[in-house]
Amino acid sequence: MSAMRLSKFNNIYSIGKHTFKNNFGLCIAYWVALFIFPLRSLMSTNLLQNRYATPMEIDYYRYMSAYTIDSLAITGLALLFTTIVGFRAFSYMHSKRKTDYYGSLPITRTAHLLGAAGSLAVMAIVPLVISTFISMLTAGFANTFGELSKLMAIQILAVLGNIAMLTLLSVVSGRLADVVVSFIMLNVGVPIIALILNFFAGELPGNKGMVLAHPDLGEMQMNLPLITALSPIFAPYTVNKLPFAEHFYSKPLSSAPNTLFYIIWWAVLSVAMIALAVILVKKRKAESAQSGFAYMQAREMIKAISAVAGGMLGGLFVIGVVGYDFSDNGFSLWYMFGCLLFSFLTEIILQLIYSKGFKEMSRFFINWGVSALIAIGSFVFIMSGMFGYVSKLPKTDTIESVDVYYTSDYTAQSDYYYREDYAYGRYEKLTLTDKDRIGKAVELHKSFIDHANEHSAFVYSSINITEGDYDRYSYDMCFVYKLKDGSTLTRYYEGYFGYDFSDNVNWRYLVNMDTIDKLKNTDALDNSGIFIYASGDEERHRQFAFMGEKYYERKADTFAEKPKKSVVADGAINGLAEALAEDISEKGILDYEKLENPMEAHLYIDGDYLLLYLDDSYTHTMDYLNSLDNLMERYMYMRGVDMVEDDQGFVSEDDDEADWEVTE
Amino acid sequence: MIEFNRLTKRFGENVAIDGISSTVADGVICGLAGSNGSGKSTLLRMMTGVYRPDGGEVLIDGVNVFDSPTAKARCYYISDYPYFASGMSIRKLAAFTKSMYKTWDNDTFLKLSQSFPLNHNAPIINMSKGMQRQAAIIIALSTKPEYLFLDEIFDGLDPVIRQMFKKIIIENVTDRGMTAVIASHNLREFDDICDTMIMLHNGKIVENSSVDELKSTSFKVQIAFNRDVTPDIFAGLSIINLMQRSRYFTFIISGNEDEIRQKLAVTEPAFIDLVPLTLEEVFIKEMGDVGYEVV
Repeated sequence: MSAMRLSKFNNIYSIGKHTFKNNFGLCIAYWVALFIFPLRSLMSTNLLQNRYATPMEIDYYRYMSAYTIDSLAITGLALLFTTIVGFRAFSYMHSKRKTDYYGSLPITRTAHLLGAAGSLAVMAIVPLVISTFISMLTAGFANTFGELSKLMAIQILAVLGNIAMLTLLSVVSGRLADVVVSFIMLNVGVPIIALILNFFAGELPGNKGMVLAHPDLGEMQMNLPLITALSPIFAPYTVNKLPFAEHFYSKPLSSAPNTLFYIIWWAVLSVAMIALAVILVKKRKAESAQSGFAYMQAREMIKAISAVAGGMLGGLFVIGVVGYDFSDNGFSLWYMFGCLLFSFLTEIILQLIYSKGFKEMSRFFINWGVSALIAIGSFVFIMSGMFGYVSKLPKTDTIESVDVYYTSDYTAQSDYYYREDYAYGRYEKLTLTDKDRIGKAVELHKSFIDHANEHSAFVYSSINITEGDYDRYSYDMCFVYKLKDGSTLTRYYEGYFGYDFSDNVNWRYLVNMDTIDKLKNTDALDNSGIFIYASGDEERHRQFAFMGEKYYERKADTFAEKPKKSVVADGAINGLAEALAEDISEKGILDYEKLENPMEAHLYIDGDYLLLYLDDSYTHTMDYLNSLDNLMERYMYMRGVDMVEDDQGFVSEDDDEADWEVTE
Repeated sequence: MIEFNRLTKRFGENVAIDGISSTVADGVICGLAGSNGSGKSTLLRMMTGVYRPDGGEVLIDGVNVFDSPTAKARCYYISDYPYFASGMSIRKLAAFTKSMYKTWDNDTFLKLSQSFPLNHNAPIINMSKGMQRQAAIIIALSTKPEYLFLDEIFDGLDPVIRQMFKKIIIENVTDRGMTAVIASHNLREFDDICDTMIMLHNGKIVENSSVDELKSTSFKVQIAFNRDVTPDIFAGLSIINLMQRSRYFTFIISGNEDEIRQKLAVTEPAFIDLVPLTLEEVFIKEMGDVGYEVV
């Protein structure tokens, strides 16, 4: 038994060696290309030394060159090499003469296949490892070992994934042309389909980045490892360990999940593809060499993927040509027409390549029909709201909690209150566990859905209002419902709407209550303040200012300006917070349009900004402010600074009065 | 011994080998003949484990040859268009073949290299068709195969090399009991080498017997009369390819020579001659029997 095993191993080794010898020329070219990179790094270092660069600069250069450009190029080279040599190494199944020769050799089909694949892996990986170690040495071993080892691991996995796919495709194909076309189609076709579906799905209200990300991951970026799940050529470039991927992922959010997904997925997929290839090669029809696919199911699958991708791409092309407008149904019809036309063209081209002519035309029309149906059907499925996906709302009593994410600019509708620390993409978060607030969140969410339904044509994407910019409002808001059954429902709205949701009473209620909560938190008060402007009559304005734990009555409007009036009472802000909370709970959020004599309350709470409208119906707040007024009367020799508004904003009528100080 | 039982191979709708069964005994040279597209090469490919049968099996000494390294290690197959990798020289091919076949014999390789003087370092694909076949023969016989399968091997060989090759095959058969299966269209090549013949037509065996038997059971008859007779005089005899020139007839007839002579004597001919058929004539006769004949 052991002698048989030894003999089997010897034969695998012989096939591997034979494969290597048959591709020796390409190997030399690959190795030379690989070793250029550490050599270049060494030469550049010498050059830098001659130019009196500091050791730190030289180290930085070495590290950067090893970690960035070199790793990109090396990954590409390794993939290119395995692809070209892979086509050659497995071509023993794709030529009748080769099949006769290799098929009669005393080696099992499995051993032959593994021998060729193993040889290919060794040819690609061994020089890659050596080159990386040289790069580590030239770029400073201690500094680069960790990062370059990770990079190398990803590169090795990329090579193995590519070999596994080539192995499987070679087994199911009958001709080299079939393998090449199928390899290209799988690498390109699936990402095209995923990207286009994602594009449409991303247009759905509540669904930005459906396939893609969770707000907790930060920036809503596409999940490229998922989109390239069947593309060994592109997949490694989506892993953020490779510098190229940095362009796709933001720093705080990208690291672990994508790399981990890539490693696990490609390790599992590679093993699965090799296992499937081993199973299929045993029953493979050798006579399929030079004639057609050994497994027709694979051919049909690849044709379908290609025709669907071609159709979708053609659909986009057509709507690009006729005019890209989501606001009417014509867009959908043009897209469908493009799908039909281009899936047909793709199918015809593949028919000519795979079947070498117009044989099996009945099957051709069936395949085309199915492909076009998938391309159009997936579009209709998505754009019609995915069978209730868009309008789905959980019932309040099934919700454990709701996280509402929103960008800072949502509340900053006015330039006047533009925050200097505002940064695009930063999300604020409200976590709602109170039943009442959960109900308000559901109501708010419902208003988004109602608005979408009201403004949608056949396709939901027409919700994007395109008629002029004046009535458009930009939103970036996400609802994450954690349900009692343990599941999560996420809806994410982004884009321009013809409705200003900042006026929505439920939204204002939620944000204001959150702000009030923060007000009650004394830890936040050092960085907080409330300004209340009262303009009871045309001539007179009042301005109450609460900063930190102090209360001022200010004459200057600028928050940054040093207050000129001093302490009245410590902790006054807490009292105001209590009063506001009580009023909001009792009266709700007041609608500015309906107020006869409104006061504006501008709240800056630990970096957040909020605008509230008050009037006399907010009795708790008014009483509290009046009590402060009384306090002022007692402690100030002059009560109230009359403020009038001019072109410069709010200024004091009497600047001389501003220098006084009050002592308790 | 090579056995195949109810062997079937289909290519789509086309049935290339249609449930045939036969055996090839050890130590014989078996000729595989047949009409175009009759399935000769397909049968050879199944015998060497290249093709997987759709039905039935090929056994070599009781072992199913398909995907069996053990059985294949005892065989060598030279296809009708032998494959040589680009840049592959005889020396390199010998090294590779030696690594695959434990039975490789270097002395045989050197001896054959002398018989077929070829440049061992030149790429084989740059050689002529005949030289490529010689290279294949050198490599094949150096593995000392117990079963040698050859497809149209004589094609491209000059008469001298052809005779030398036949001689070497016969030596291998007689000296070490090798079994050879040779497929060819050129039945004249079989005349002086084959012990048995399998004839195929449309995927079925139409004849399977020893060459001696084939030659001794079919005869070309030349018969003349000194009176006017019609072909009806041969009624009751199973004859084919009858030709008449006045009182002179030729035809082919199967059966025992003595019995044929007795039956023909009844017609009182002036002259009668029975000549054994060549294998080519036997082939034409057998094909004629199944309706495949010159129109």
